Amino acid sequence: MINERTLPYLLLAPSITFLLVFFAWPLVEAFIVALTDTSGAWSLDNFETMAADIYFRDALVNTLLLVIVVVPLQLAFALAMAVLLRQLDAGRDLYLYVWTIPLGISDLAAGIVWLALLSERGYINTVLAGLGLIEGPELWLSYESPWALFVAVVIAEIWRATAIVLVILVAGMQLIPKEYDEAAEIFGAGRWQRFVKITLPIMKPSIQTALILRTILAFEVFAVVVALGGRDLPVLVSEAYFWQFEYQDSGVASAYAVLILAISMLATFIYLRVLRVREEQVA
Amino acid sequence: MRTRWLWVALALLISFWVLFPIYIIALSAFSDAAEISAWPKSFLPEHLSLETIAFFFGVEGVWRATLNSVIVAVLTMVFSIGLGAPAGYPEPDAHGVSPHQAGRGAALLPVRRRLLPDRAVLDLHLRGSQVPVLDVGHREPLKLGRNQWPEFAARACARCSAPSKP
Repeated sequence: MINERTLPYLLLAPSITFLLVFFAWPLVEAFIVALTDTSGAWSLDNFETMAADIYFRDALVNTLLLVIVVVPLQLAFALAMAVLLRQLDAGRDLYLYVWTIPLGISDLAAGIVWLALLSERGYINTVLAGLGLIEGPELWLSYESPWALFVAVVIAEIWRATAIVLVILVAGMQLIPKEYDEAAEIFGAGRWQRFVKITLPIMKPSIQTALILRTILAFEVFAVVVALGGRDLPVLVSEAYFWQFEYQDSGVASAYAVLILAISMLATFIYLRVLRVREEQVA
Repeated sequence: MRTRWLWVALALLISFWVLFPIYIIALSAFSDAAEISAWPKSFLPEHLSLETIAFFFGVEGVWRATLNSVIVAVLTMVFSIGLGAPAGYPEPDAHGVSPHQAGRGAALLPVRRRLLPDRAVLDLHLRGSQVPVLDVGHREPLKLGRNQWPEFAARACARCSAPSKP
């Protein structure tokens, strides 16, 4: 039975089966659970419960704010780091390996690392006290100072996940021939001009990829937030988690999941439209 | 010449930013309980102790959890390569297919077109899988040749199905 015509289907069959069983089916299931009430009838009860919950507004606002603050900062830092890497003569490999270490650290572990640094009697407070900025141990990670909690999550996220953006941008930057830069230099283009007129346009596909991946993952921020603030800084995924495992309510948890999916898809769609990449630009 | 030192200083500063938290957590792991709740904190390994780490390995379930992690990691690797490699073989390309592959490649092309109508999504994963970075040390970048598809597809798929969040 194996011939030229059937072989492609046979080769693709295992992965398609896997995707159908472990990806498509649970996805459909989640939609059904979200859109039915306890008696099994179709309803929007779960979405109404979700929207009426006291944590919902904060969770939505916090998640959006985190994305709006974290993603541009990470893109800027990663771009700067990628350019810096290009300027270095020696030890480029070593720097890149060191800078991407956080990639190998689980998000919960990263949250715990920053908890140790930012806790009441932690290392950051020791430095602040040494500089005379605070008098003694000070509690930052509490519901009483939500802005400090927010900043802590932003710092931890930048530490943890800038590397993924950096790696994608470095990959894109490697595809830029050095001759372009040299030619522009000969014609008198300054450093900034070369960056804006040559590097950025050629890197558009990489930037698009990095933005999409990073934004989707930023909407899913969870472990770092829970490690640093528990429920004092509610976000969408942590609410989904609490509804599933604390309240044992799969319906509302699925409603959150559907909402997160919808937001992620919308963001991806916008990126694909706004940062449209022509076929010949795809590296 | 002077800016070169500036770049190196900046690179070292970023390295410090990445490594410092890891150093601190390692320091905590090798300190005793009194040191962990001490104030102010010491930044130097003055009171190294195996108390905390010994306690950790004595906790019920640590080895079981470690074993579970290893099992999950191995299974993820086996499944992603096992499923991804056949699916990515061979790369259909009207121009770059070698003669002995041409038959199969040509047969796979319309199938893939049908199953993956949106090239953009595939490109996204390919570019996201950071393949050229592996070659970072060399001046000449590794080009994403179309015939190298199986390897890249396997990598890309490994990323799609891997549960870890970058």
